[in-house]
Amino acid sequence: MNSIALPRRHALSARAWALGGLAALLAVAAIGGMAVGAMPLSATQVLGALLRWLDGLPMQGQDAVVLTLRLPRVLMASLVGAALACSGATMQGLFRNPLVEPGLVGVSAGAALGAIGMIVLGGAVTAVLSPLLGSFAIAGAAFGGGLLATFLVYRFGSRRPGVATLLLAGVAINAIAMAGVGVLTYLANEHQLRDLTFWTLGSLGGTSWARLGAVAPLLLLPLLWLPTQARALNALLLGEREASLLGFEPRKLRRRLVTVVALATGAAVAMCGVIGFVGLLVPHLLRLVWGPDHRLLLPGSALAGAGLMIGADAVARVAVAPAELPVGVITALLGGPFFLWLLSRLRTGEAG
Amino acid sequence: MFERSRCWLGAVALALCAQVAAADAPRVVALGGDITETVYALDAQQSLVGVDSTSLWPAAARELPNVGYVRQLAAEGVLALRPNLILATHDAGPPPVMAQLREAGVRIELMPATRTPEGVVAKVREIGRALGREAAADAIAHRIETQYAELSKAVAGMKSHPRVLFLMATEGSPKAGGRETAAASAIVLAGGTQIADGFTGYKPVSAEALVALAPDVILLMRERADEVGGVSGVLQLPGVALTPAGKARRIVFVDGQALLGFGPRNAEHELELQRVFAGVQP
Repeated sequence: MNSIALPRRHALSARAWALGGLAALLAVAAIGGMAVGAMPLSATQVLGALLRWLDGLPMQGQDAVVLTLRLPRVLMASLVGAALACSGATMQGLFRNPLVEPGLVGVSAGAALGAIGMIVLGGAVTAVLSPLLGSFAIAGAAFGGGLLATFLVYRFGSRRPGVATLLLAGVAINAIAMAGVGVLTYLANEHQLRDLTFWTLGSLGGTSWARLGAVAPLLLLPLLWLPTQARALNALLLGEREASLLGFEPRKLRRRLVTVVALATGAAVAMCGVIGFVGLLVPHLLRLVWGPDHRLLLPGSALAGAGLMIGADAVARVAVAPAELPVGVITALLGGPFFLWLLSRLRTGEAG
Repeated sequence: MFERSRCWLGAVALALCAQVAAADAPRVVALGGDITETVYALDAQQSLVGVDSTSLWPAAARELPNVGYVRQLAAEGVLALRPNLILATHDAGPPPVMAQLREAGVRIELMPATRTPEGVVAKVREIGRALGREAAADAIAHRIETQYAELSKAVAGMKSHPRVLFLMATEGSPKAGGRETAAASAIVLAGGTQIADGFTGYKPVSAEALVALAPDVILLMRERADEVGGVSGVLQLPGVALTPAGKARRIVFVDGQALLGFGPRNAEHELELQRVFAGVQP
């Protein structure tokens, strides 16, 4: 059943080491993310706040900063980063193309259209709600837009066998959604223009326990389920015919994977805006280092994506404090050069 | 475990004591260019600990810690300035961050958007009240009211109201200020006719549309005069030379922050603009 030719025992221990290393990196990133911020807090204060929280003691001093601002934000960053990277790894496997990112099936562009539509045209909807609920309305519209776009891509793209049609349908739906964004940009007033610019650059600002709670199930469930599909994705690497000979049903698999990826990516984009490069970079990076085995790639991408996002968000929070940078800028700024450096170290023919 | 956390408790209590000593002095974060202007006008700038990125005047305000764009604030960043009062324009955000700041126990005073003389005066008084500087606010309010009264008298005495277009020169077609913009309010208040009323907000206009609008006066922001190359640069923009404004070289650069911010300096700049409009012969 396995597409991997490595001896089983050897593969297993190498995988354990790799995932253990990535988990350690994630832990370091999380500690770093909790330790830094615009508010100068000592390690003692941060640890004290966390311990008091775990002991159920009342908050004191600057505990609120640690417990209601930093902690949910670090958790949100890790979930969103993990979801984006794991979705990216899944899509790259599904399309057997290392340049694919989760946005390819239209979910990011659809979500952007939904969110921006709500920002620009939803005045009547958001006016009757409190501003806080209004921000949830924007997230809801984004989530709906992302799912709808993905559904359309899938409907048009699955008429013929193979992934090529799906890919092209994704390109077309993306173009239509971005045209819609263009029209809305024209209609927007100055304030809305600034809002939607920031939305398209992504931000974890304003993350609270409520927002985290609203989105966590939609990110956690795909994160738990996707790695269980590693063997099927490995089989798919051999080709669709080969995969079905091995007992997998490529059609059914594709539908399930696209749905789950759309759920996870849609939820991430809805809450935090479009955060580029994580879904493309992280899985690609791991593949360059450890090869294409999805049993390592999927959980590994989740761990590395979470760590990268926590790190990027920490930079976004402190770089221009007391203001904040859009996190999407950081992921691209950190990720791009690193990726190039890695590519330059490879001999020709090794990439992909 | 318990012993250690007690130890930390002591450290935190100490840190808190140090903070309480300084907590009596007002620490104000001003969010919005007009609000920062007003704080300075009230001579309360010593209590300012932070401003937003739209607070460009006076120059000293730019030296203060900057919390970023007023609609894209960061909760921890603002709290790190340890403010006990946030004076914010009504649309400061994003809403989740405003909620976090409120939950952190910081007093937040939201100021309504104003583009009327009454609104400007009310805003000055309200900020004066929030800062405990009612007397200074009264003095400024009286001065502004007098200026606005002078303005409305002058506007009432105008024989004609020139057609005025506000332009922002950008890459591609210049953008014109349409309905519901600060520019439109400023033009009407100074006795001009706001002619770009076919759209809301600032929208790009083609060269032909510019000629068709036939403005007698074209206004631009002085802050960006160098970028557009001054009056001669504006005359080079497609279509401008064919308008009445272009032919008579009635290209006027206004102080964007003072006039369009509708802060305490609006009145005097409206008066200045009214004199320009009054000088236009139909």
